[in-house]
Amino acid sequence: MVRRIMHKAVRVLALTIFLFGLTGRAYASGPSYPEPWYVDQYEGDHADLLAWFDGRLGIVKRTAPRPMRYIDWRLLHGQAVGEATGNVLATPCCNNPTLTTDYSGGSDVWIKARNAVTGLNDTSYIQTDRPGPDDTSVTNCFPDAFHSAAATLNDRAARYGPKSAAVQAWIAAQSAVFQACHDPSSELPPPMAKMPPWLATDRDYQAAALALYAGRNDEAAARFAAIAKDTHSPWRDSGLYLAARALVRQAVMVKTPSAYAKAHAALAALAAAPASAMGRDRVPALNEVVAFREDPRGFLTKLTRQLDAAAPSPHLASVFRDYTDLGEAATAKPEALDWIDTLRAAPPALSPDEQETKDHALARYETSRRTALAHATQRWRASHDAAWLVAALSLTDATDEQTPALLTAAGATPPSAPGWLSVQHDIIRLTLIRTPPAASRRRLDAILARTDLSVSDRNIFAAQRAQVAASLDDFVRFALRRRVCGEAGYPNTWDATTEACVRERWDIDQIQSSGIYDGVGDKGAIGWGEDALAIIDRAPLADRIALSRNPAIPAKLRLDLALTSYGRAVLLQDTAAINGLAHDLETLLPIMAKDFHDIEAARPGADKRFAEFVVLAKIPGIRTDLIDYERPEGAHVADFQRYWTDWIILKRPGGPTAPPPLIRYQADGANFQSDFQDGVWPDAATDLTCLGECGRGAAPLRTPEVFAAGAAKAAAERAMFFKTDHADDKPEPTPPPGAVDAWDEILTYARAHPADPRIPETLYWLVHVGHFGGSHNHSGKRAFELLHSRYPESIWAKKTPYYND
Amino acid sequence: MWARGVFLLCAMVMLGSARAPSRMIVWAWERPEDLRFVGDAADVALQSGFIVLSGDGVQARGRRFPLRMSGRPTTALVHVQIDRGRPLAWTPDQRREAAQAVLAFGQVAGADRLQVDFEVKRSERRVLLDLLSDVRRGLPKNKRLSMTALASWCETETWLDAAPVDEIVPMLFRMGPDGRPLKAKLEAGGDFANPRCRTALAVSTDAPLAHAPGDGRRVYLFDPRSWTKPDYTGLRKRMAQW
Repeated sequence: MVRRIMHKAVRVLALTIFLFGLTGRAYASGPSYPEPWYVDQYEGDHADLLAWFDGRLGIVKRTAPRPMRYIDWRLLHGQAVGEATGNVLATPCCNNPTLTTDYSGGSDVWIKARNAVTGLNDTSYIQTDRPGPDDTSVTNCFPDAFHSAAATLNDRAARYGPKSAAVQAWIAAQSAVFQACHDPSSELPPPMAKMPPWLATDRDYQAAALALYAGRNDEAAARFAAIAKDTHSPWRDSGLYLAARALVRQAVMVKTPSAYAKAHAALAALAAAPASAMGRDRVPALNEVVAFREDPRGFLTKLTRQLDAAAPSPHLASVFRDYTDLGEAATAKPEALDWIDTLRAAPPALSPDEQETKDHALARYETSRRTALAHATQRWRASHDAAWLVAALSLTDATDEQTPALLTAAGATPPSAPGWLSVQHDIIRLTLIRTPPAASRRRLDAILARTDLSVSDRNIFAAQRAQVAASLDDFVRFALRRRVCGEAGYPNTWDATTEACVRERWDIDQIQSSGIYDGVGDKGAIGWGEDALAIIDRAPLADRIALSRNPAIPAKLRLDLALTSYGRAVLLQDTAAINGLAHDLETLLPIMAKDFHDIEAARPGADKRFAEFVVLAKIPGIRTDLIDYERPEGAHVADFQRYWTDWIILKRPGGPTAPPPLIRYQADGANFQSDFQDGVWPDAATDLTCLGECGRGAAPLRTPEVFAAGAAKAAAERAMFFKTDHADDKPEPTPPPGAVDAWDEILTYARAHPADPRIPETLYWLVHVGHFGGSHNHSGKRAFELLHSRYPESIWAKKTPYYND
Repeated sequence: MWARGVFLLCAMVMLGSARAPSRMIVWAWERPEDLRFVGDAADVALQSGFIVLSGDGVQARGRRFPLRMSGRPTTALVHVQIDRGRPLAWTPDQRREAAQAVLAFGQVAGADRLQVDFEVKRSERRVLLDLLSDVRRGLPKNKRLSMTALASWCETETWLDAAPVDEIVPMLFRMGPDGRPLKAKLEAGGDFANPRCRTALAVSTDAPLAHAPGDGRRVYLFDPRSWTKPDYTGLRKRMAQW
C-alpha cells in the first residue's frame, strides 16, 4: 500500500530535493583523517554542548557544519536555541544515510504476512529503490506501505479465508505493486473473473499505487481521485491526499507551470475536504514542497522569516537545510548563510580538469581569505552587527590594513556580549607577538580563571598562554591539554545514548596514533598541544632534558621527551646527556632497563657507542623531533612499531639547520589541502593554537622567552642532525665526509668482539632494521651473513631464516 | 645459511624484474563524482549499495550521489556495516535478507564484478564469511566476487583463506599505527604474507607509498574527497615510480 507516514512535514521537502552539487561527507572505507583532539569544532562533549545550546557562546569555529554555525549566529543575535533545537541542528539533517532511519522492518513484515497466508516460503528480496539519474537510487517504497499491506492482507484473509481465490488474487496483485518499487514495467496480473466487490475496490487502489510507484504520476492521481469519489471504496478517505501527493511528485519532477497548477488544485481540493479526509494536515508541508521549486525566491523569504524568529522551532534543522539549499542558488545569499560561508572562506574548488602549481595553490588560498575579509569588514561597517565583527576578526592577519580598526572595535566589545570570548581569542592572536608577555599573561590568566569555558576553548586559550610562559614550569602547566572527546573508537561507535561527542554524528572516523596522550595507544586524557610540540622540538637539548624530568608531566610524555632527547644526544655525542638520559630511561622504559644500564656502565669509546647504537637498533620510533617520533609500546621489544631511520653521526656540523616546518604540526587540523604542504606553507601563515579551526587568520607561533634564549644553541645542535628520510621523488641524501653510520659501527664492533654475548641479538635487530626501512649500505644483509656465519646455532640465527634488504 | 639468503635475493630480483602493467580501478564512493576525465585509462568501481545490519534487521538503500563517467562501471561495490548501537542478532532471516540486498544492489549495468566492502571486528568474522558465502551462491557464474580487506588481515590472519571470493583487496591506507611495519615492508620490496592478497591492492591519494607490489595486480584507487584530475594524475604519477 502507498500510505507512508511523514514524520516531519518538511522532511518530505528535503527528501525530494536532490542537487547534483550536494557534497555529502565521504564514506571512506576504514577510518578517515585523525581529527584534532584538543580543539573540537563540534563543540565538545555533552556538558559543553548543553551549555552552548543554553547560550554560552565560546570561540566561534569556522569549520563545523553549517547548521552548527547557525547556532552561533542565533546566539550572537540574542536568539534562543535550547536543547531540543540545538540537538537537531547538531545532527546531520534530513537525508543523511548514516542515521538510523525508519527504513527498517519494512518488506520483511509484508513477506512474513504473505507467506503465512499462502503457506509458501517465498523469501525473494523486494527492492524498494528505483533507479535515478546518474547511477543514483531513490527510495520509492517505504516501510509504512509494507506494514499497511500486511495489515490489509491479514484483514482480508480473516474475512474471506486465506485460501480463497479472491485473497490469492489480492496477494498476486499486491506483489506486482511492490515489484513496481524497483521495476516500472511491472503490471497487475489480469483480474480474476467475477471479482467480489471488495476485491474490485482493493484492486482499484492497487492499480493506483502501482502507477505511483512506476512513476506514472498523472495516471496515479486520476485513479486516486476516482477512489476519493467512490462511496463504496474503503480507501476513499485517502484518495484526495494520495492524488495530491502524486501531483506534487509530478510537479517536482517536470517543473512546468501546468504541473504546478495541477498540484495546487489538488492541494486546494484536499484542504477543502471533510475533516475525515486523510492528510489535510499535510497540505501546508506539501505546498512548501511545491513552492520550493515553483517560487524559490518567495519560499526563501518565508524560510528566512522562520529562522529569524526569536523562539526556536523543532523543525529548524530541516528549515535551515532548505534555506541553505535555496540560499546557495540565490542571486543574493541570505545573511546567515552569507555569514557562515564568509567565516569558512573556503577557497574555490578547482574544476576536475584543472591542474595547479604550488604558487597558484598558495595564491588561491590567500585570495579567498582576503576576499572573505573584505566582505566581512564591509558588512560589519554597514551593519555594526557583532557577528560580522567576529567573522572579520577571525579572517584578518596582524599585517592586514583592516586590523587596527577591527582591533579597536574588538577592544570596545563588552564582556557581557555573546561574542566576547571569540573576540578575545582573536585580539590575543593578533597581538601576541608584539605585546609584552606579562600583559598577555595577565589577560589570559583572567580568561582562564573563568569557570564557564568549554574544554576546547580552555585548551585554545592555554595554547596562547603557553607561548608567553614565564618559566619552564609555567610552560608545562599550559602546554599540557585535556582531550576533548574521550577515547576515539574504531570502527565508529556512535550510539545515540552513550556518545561522547557530536562529532561522531557527522561520520568522522578517528584514528589517533599512539604517543599523543598519557595512556597506551590512543588511550589517555592528557597530551601536548601541537604548539607545544613545535616549541619543544625547537628547544635545545638541555631544555628538553629538563622537561623530561619535570614531575608535572605524565610519565608517558616524559618518556617521549627522553627518547627524542636521547636520539639528539647520541647524534651530538654528548656523553653527559647520554648517560643522564640512559639513567632516566631505565625507569621510563623498564622493558629496556638493561640496555640503558649497559650504556651507563660501558667504557668510553667504542664500547659505549656500541651500547648507544644498540638502543637505536631496538627502538624503531626514535627520532630527534616529537613530530616524527613514535612511542615504543607493547609487552615485548618486538611489539615496538614504526620503521627505522638510518642514524648518521657527523664529525662536524653539516645537517640542515631548519626545524620541521610548522605546517606539519597542523596536519590534524584544518589547513591547506593539497600536495604541497611541506616546505611550502610559510610558518607565519600557520595556526598551531587552534589548528585553523577558529578562523582563516594566521596565528604565528610565539616562542616563550624561556626557550627563545636557547634558539641559537638549538640551531647549532640541529646542524649535527643528518636525516636520511626523504620525499619519494627525491634521492637519498649523501652523508658528508667523515660521517659515521651507526649500523656500520655496530657491524665493525661485532666483528671485533665475537665473544660479546650481545652480538647475536644485535645482529638480529640489524637484520630487522634492514627489513623495515633503515638499512645503510645493505647493513641488513651484512648482519644476516655475519649472524649465520658466526653464530649459526644461536636462537637469533634461528629466528632469522632470511633477510630482506 | 647465508647462501639461502642469496638465493632468495636472486629469486626476488628475478621475480621483480619483469613487471606486468597493472589495471587501475577508480573507486567512486558515496559522494558526487565526475570521472569523465578518466576516460578509458582506468575502470570504475561504483558504490551502488549501502547496507546496515542493525539488531536483527537489515536496512538497505542504493546510491544517493550521482556519478558521471564515460562508459560504465565494471565493478559494483556494496558497503556493509554493523550498527554499533544495537547487538547484532545475525538470525537466518537477517542473513538471507542481507545477502539478497547485496545481490540486488550489486546489479549494476556493465559490471562484471561485485565487491563487498565490510569491515568486521574479530568477533564478527563469521558474519562476513557467512555473507560472502551466501552472496557467492546467488551470484551468476559469469560474475566475479571481490572483497576489500584491512591490510592487517593479509599479514597475520589465516581466517581469510575461508573467504569464497575471487579477489581480496588489501587497503594500504588508514592502517593506523599497526600498518607502519607493513608499509615499510612493502616499500622495501616485500609482499603480503597471505598469497591470496597478492592479486590486488588499494591505495589512496593521501597515503603515499614509495613502493608497492605490482606485477599486473589490480590496483584500486581511493580519494577521500570527490576525485579531481590533479588527485588522479598525482596518484598515477607516484605509482609510476614504484
